[in-house]
Amino acid sequence: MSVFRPLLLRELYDLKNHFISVLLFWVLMPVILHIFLAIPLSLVIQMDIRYLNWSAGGIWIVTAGITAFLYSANRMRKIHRESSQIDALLKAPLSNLHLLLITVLRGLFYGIGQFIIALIITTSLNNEYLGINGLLVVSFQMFTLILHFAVLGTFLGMILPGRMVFTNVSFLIFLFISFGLGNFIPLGNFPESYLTIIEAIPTTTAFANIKTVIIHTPFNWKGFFFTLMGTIIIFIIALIASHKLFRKF
Amino acid sequence: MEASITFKAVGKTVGNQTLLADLSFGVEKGSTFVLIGENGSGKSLILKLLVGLIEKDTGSVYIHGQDISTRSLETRSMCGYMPQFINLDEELTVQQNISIHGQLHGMSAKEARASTLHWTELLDLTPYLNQHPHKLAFGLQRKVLFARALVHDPQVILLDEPTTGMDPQSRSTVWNILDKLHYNKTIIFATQNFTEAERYADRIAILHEGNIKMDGTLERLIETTHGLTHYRLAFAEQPPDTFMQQLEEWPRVLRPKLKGLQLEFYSRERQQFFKVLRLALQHSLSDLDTSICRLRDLYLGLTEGGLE
Repeated sequence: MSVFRPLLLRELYDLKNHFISVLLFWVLMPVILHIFLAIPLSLVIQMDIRYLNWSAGGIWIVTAGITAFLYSANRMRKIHRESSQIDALLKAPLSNLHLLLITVLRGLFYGIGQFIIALIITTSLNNEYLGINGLLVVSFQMFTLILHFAVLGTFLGMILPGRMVFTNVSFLIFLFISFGLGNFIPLGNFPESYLTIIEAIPTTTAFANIKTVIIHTPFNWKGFFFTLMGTIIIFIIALIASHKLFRKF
Repeated sequence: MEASITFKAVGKTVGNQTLLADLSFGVEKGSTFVLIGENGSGKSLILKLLVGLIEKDTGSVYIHGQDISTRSLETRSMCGYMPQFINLDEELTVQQNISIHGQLHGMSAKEARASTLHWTELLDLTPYLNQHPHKLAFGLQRKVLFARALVHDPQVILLDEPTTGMDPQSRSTVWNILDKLHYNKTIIFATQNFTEAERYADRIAILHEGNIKMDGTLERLIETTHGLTHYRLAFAEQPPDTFMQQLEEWPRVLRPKLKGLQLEFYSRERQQFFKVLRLALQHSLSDLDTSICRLRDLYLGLTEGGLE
C-alpha cells in the first residue's frame, strides 16, 4: 500500500491540475452522443419501448467504456511509449504489477466518473426513473464493463507502437462498440450470420444486460462472468508482456 | 575500504553487439567514481543496470552487499538516479514531481515535502516549484532531475552526465552539493567532461566498447603514461607536405597531426621535441605550447588505438 499511496496521489494531482477539461469531457461526451446520435436514430428506429430510453444504456456504455479505455491507454502510452517516464517509475521500488494496477485504477476512476455524469444527464434528458434495484444492477454491470475497458486500454496502450496506430485502433473500437454491438442500433437489424459471431462475444451479452434493466427483461449472468474472466485474462497477458517491454534490452 | 558496489564478470549482449564484456570492478563506500567513454561505450548502461532498468545477461552486481537481481526492491531504494534524458512527469508541477518520487521511495508526505523544499532551495529552483517542467529551460529541468535523484537521501547516487545543459553557475552549485555529499555517499557519474572528471573523481574508469580500458586514481592513470608530454606548434603558413612525411618517419614522435596551421604530437623524450622544433623553425613557426599528458590525452590514446 505504501507504494500505491504516492501513485494515487499522483493521479489526484493530475486530476486537480486538469479538472476543468476532465469535467468538460465528462459532460460533453454523453450530451453529444444524445444530440447527434440518439435523437436522429430515434426518428428512424422503431421499437416496442421509447428509443431514447433504450439508447441511454448505449450512451452509458460507450462514454464510460471509451473514457476508461482512453485514460488508461493514454497514461500507459505517455509513460511507456511517448516519454521515458517509465524509467523514473521503475527505478523506484515498485513492480510492473503496481504500474499496471494504477493505470487500470486510473481508467476505472475516470470511467466511473463518466458513467455517473452520463447517468445524470440521460435520466434528466429522458425524464427516466431508475429504481434503487435497477440502479444497483446497472452500476454493478457498468463497473465490470468499465474495468474491462480500462484493462484493454492499459494493454493496448502498452503494446501499440505508434500514435497513429493507437488513434486508429481507438477509433475502430469506438465505432465497433457504438454501432456493432447493439448499443445504438438494435441487434435485430443485423444479418443472422453476423449475429451468430457477435453473440459469441461475452461483452455483447454484458452490453445487453445493461439494457435489461431499462426494458425489464431477464438478466444473463453468463455474459457478466465471461466478461470478467476475459478482463482477468487480458490483465495477465498485459502483465506477462510488461516483463518483456518495460525493462528493455 | 568497504565495497559499496561490486560488478563481477557482468556481460550484456543485444543481437550480435556486445554492450558489456565480462565487466568487473568495485566502488568503495564514500568515494566518487567516474565513468568516461565515448557514446555507446556502456557508461549509461552500467548506471541503468544498477537501478534495474536493464537486465544483465551474465555475472553478478551487488550494492551494499545485496544482489541487484534477487534484492531488486532494496537496491533500487538505496539509489538515486539522474538519467541523461529528461523524464519528468509533464502533468505535474516541479514540486509534485520531486515530492512524489520521495514518497515512492518510502518517505512520508511531510518528509518528502520538506526534502523537496530543501533541495529546490539549494538548487535555486524555489521560484519554479509550481511550474510544469516542460515550461522550464533545459538546464532547469536537469536541475529538477538532480533534485529528484537526491530527494530520498539515497546511499548511492548515480548521475548520467549530470551537468549537461546547465549554465556555469548551476554546474558549480551541483558540484558544491556533490562535494559536500561525497564523504558519506557513494557517487558514480558518467561524463564526457574531462575537467569535471579530473576535478571531482576519486577514481576514474575509462570505458571503451563495453570494457574498462583503465581504472584508477587520476594520479595513477597519469603515471601510466611515463612522462608522456603533449606538444603543440603553430605556424604562420602551411608547412609543406614533406614536413609531415619527415615527422611520420620518426618513431618516437607519437601521433603527429596537422590541423590547419597547428601541429600536435606526443613524446616521452624532450630530445624528440627539440628535433621537431629544429625542423619547424625552417618553416614559419609562430608559437609553441607544451603540457603534461592529462586525462583527455590518455583517453584519446586508449580509445583511438593507442599513442604508440
